[in-house]
Amino acid sequence: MPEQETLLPAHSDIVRRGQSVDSACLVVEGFLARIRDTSSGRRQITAFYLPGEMPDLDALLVPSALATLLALSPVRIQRVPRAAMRDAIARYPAIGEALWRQTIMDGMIAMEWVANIGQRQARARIAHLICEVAIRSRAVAGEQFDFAFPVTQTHIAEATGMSPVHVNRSVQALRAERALELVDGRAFVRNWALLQDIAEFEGSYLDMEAPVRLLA
Amino acid sequence: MRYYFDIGGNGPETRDIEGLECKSVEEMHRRATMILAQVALDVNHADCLNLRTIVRDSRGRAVYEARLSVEGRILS
Repeated sequence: MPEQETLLPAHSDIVRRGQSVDSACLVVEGFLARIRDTSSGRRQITAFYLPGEMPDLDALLVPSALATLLALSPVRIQRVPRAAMRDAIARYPAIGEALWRQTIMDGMIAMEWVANIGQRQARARIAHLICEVAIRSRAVAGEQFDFAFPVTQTHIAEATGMSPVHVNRSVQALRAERALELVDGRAFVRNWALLQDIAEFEGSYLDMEAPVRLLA
Repeated sequence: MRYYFDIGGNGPETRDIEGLECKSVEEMHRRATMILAQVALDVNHADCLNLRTIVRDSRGRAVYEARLSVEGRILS
């Protein structure tokens, strides 16, 4: 399958909503966010995307981008042309099924984010986000581990519907409880059991295998 | 202008290290109110709430204070 790899700096737009597109992208390195700007100029991050994931599968079906994708860190992506991808799906149904599973997982993650904003208190929202990214990053190893999390507290605020000041206060609380520390673009889980407990995290919604490893 | 929102009252005192960029003093006032309202949602106490924020400017001087409190009493 033809591929072109592109390196993009942090804070750049990978794709803008409404832009005409003829390829979907695969994240090779770095973190992306799907964003929704509001009329007051405030930004809502509606999803994160990690290496191995395809953030804009809609581009395979729809000619213009449904959402803006922003690089949160320097990112490396591969663009997969629509025609080539559709051809591959026609010839190898397993690829289509893998993309279908990714889309279902995206939907499940989005539902958890809704519950996060609707039901959980600040510290629990942040803990939940970290638990989810830890599993998606395949970083979980025992009770203490760390992983790349190049997401600022402002981004966390935009993803959880909170003020950055409130995020900072909650992050300080999580550190004081020795559950988690966020330092220099990495998340350091100090007590995985405690962090999951604070988050009321039930991770079965992530059980769909990240399917795009088939393609990478 | 960057302002720093230190929070106290119910729960631990926290110092804002990063601050928020505000386009005007009025925006800073509004954000102080909004932050207290958000923090109030997290407070677990049953019947009273007493939160305070002291806002510092980029020189570290306290320039604004906002309070949010809820008091309840039983009516017989």
